[in-house]
Amino acid sequence: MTKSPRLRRAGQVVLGLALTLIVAGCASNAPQDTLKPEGKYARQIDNLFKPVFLIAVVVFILVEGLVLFSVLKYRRRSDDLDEPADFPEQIHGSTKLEIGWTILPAVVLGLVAIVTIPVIFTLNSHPKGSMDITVTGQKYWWAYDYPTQPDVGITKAITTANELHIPAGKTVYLSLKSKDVIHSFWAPRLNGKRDVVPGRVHTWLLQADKPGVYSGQCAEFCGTSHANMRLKVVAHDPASWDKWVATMEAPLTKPTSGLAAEGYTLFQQKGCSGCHKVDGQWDEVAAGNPSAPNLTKLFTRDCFAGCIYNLDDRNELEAWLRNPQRKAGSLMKIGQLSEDEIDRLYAYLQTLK
Amino acid sequence: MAAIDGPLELTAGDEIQVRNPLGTFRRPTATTGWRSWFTTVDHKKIGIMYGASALVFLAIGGLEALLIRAQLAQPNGQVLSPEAYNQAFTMHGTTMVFFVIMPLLAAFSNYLIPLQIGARDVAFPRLNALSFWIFIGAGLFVYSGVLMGHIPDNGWFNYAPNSGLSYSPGHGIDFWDFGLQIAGIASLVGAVNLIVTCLNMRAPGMTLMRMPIFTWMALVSQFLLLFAIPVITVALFLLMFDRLFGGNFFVVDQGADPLLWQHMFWIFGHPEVYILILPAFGIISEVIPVFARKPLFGYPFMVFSGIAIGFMGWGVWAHHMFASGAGPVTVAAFSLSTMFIAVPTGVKIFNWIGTLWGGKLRFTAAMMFAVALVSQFTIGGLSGVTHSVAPADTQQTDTYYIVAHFHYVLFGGSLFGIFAGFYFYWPKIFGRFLSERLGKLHFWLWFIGFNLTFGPMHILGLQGQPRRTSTYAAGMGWDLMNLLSTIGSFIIAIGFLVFIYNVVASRKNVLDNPDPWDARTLEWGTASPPPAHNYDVEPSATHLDEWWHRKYETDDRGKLRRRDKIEYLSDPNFDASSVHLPSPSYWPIIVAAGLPLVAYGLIFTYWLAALGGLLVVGGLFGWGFEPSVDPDAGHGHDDAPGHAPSPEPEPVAVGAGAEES
Repeated sequence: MTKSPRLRRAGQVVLGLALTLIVAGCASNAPQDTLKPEGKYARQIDNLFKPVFLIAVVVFILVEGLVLFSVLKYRRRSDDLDEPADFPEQIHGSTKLEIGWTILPAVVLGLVAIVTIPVIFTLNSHPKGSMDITVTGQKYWWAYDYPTQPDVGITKAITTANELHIPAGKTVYLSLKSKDVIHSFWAPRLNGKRDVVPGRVHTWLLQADKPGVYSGQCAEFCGTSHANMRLKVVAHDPASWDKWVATMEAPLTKPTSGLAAEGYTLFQQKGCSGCHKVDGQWDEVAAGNPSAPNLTKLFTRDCFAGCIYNLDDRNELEAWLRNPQRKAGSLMKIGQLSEDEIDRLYAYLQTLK
Repeated sequence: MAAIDGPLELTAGDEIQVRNPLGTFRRPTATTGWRSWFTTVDHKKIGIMYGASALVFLAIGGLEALLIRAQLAQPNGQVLSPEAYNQAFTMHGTTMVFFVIMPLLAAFSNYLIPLQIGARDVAFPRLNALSFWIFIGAGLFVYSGVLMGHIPDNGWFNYAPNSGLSYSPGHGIDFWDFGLQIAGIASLVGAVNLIVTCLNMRAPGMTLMRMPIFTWMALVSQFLLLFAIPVITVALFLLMFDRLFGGNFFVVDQGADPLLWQHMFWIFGHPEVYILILPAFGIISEVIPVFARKPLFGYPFMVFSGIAIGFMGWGVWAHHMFASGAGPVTVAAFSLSTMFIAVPTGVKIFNWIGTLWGGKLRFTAAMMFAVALVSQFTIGGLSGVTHSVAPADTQQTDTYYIVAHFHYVLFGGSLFGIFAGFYFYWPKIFGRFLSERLGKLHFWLWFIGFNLTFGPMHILGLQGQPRRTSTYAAGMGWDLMNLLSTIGSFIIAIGFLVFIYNVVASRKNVLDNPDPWDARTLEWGTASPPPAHNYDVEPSATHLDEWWHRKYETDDRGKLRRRDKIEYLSDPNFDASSVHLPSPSYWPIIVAAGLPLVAYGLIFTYWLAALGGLLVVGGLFGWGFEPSVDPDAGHGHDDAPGHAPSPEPEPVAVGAGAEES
């Protein structure tokens, strides 16, 4: 039995290490943490997950405890002779125990089932008074269409991309569509995920308790740049929501002079307007072209290209214009631009706000 | 011709006139030497070939895993391009499921089932060779595509419509599709063969409830294969039509619903999970009683829970699709069925603990791997229960939490069970020991490496890291756990190298006792390695754990003691030439060679397909006219007089070796 203290010490080290890891893991700041819900649907899920997880932990401790106990207690001692007289009792089983460990887990699981099923129905409901937004997933970015709905102040349909703006506290009823393959819309702190399937309209709910920016991304493998199909949900307090709607609905001013005006014409010459809409300026996209984000109020956004680049960093957008293929699988095609042309385009894009 | 009154069969002897039906070559006769491996119909050699080739694929699939982990070690990794990353995880999953775990379990099933039930061979020995060669053909075919640059990149699940021509041009998906269709034929042929073997070839007295538990679990998984493989084959066939002939089964613009693919894939895919785990459960259910020195606790409950899992496994597939938009009633139904499949699985866990309880546990490498399966599978099972809570699964699905879950099941479960089997059965199969010291080193490297790789993934998933993503941004809180996971994966790789070294070094550790573990089931009663005909003495069974009961009895006072006279199943004076074994044949490998040619042909040029078709049809024709036992052959074996001495070690016969133990 010389091994036992050593084993115990090793066990303590492993346990300590595991605990440290778990604590380190949970304490770190993870913007997509599913265990820190910020909305009522995510919280319902969390309220379901945590007790089930706790049951799992109890069972885990029970089973692993029994295994560990058997391993330590029933190890063959070095003084054991390998003779039939020294063999353990030859037990073949126990029907009572079998029935017990069949029924007991079944009962526990039955309880889990009882609390699970109502939440399934809640998550699939269509609550009264919710606000409508259509989400369209495509390789590799998200488009959002807000139909006219005066009760949240939207009097003119709004189209935007990558950043989904919602009023905090309001229940949002999403209609999910896909332009190409299957994607999955997921903002972990606000709700679970729902697949976006071409040819179908799936619905899903979203609600944020407090104003804030919530990170998310496509969760169903959709091709080369699946990792780069991210999104943000921006929840506003009432005042800033009204301001956002007003900004989005205000018409653009067309640049008339300087670099920006040159950029405006370049936008068409270089073929940008063949795919990108700018409401009131470039409304016709060429048939058959891939759909590209609507750029109408581009410079009210924080990020672009599937939310992987920051818009407030001028270098990022310039690098993008130099080579949109820096995001693998990007469908944007633009010929070689001179630095002059990039400056002019940038100046024009800056007016889109 | 005499009237037939017995069962219909080709009679051996002079009546058979067709010797070389195509007149081109003579039937092979060699049973030793490297050539014999290509024509063998011996279930043991076929099992060994399954195992060896699957280990090669394990090394390849492992390298792909290391590439994945290297890329994800840090945020914004630059090791692989997104395209290469997608290819790496696609090939990793495909390889590990279809070309590693399935053939490894086929290796054990082929090798052990006939031995465990006391048969000479499987029911259809040439079919057995056929399924092996078809499997090899499938693996080589898929990897030939990889070498030519046609690498699939849509995941092992290959969801529509991204698998269609418009989103996946090139031939990568075609190679994947044909490769799995071919591999499916191998599994199907093998399943039919092993089911018939289990049901029809058992030794006298070997009733179903005396069948060793490994054979039982393998039998259940063969039934699952029999019904699951056709489902994925249909899906693969439709996809093939889509890609090659404009079938439009999954093309959304033409009115298709891409969820059709998901349903078919998972109706196959979930039973597949049990196909991958049940035989591993069987292996450790053999290992644990031997090293606990106790019979398996609750044998009938172990059998029936395995069968229950087999049935319930068909009713849970949509839990892979909780986020894919099914209605709440559907989701609720699959949520419930998934919860309750945990019950029979739990029964198994508790019975293993019951077996350990009160035993005298000998911690050999095999036992360590087996006990690790119990504790690691428990983790995988419990995280599985948290997925069955469908609302919670909408957070978990497609994240690293799932990756953690199924690696705890398939690596911590299946692979650990398989390696328990390697350490346990190595002496049986090769007449040599794997070093216990190296085996334990291997165990600890894997135990630590495995848990370090996949444990942190639970946290990553709950913190919102989606799977199948080639990169992640800094500042998501995922850096540390990813780094740890990568370190763990390299520890696993080192453990595998230790195992390979152990295999090489085992050449010197020749066995002196064919039953070194004092085991319980029939196969340990014959020589190690067993002779070509398996048993010198016709086996029969009067008990579960027959071999144990031949060694031990309880005396009048209820005390256990060794029998004075043991009925051995091997006999040093046995004349092997009295046994009629099926003869080697060229036809299985010829038929098998035709299938990849058909596939190349359909992808590149129809001429090759015609050639392949000719090989398949011609091969089956030749096969049909070939008697299973060559009437010209002397009934020779490698151990029969008049043959060159075998390069293999002389099998250690039980009667000779066991006396001093």
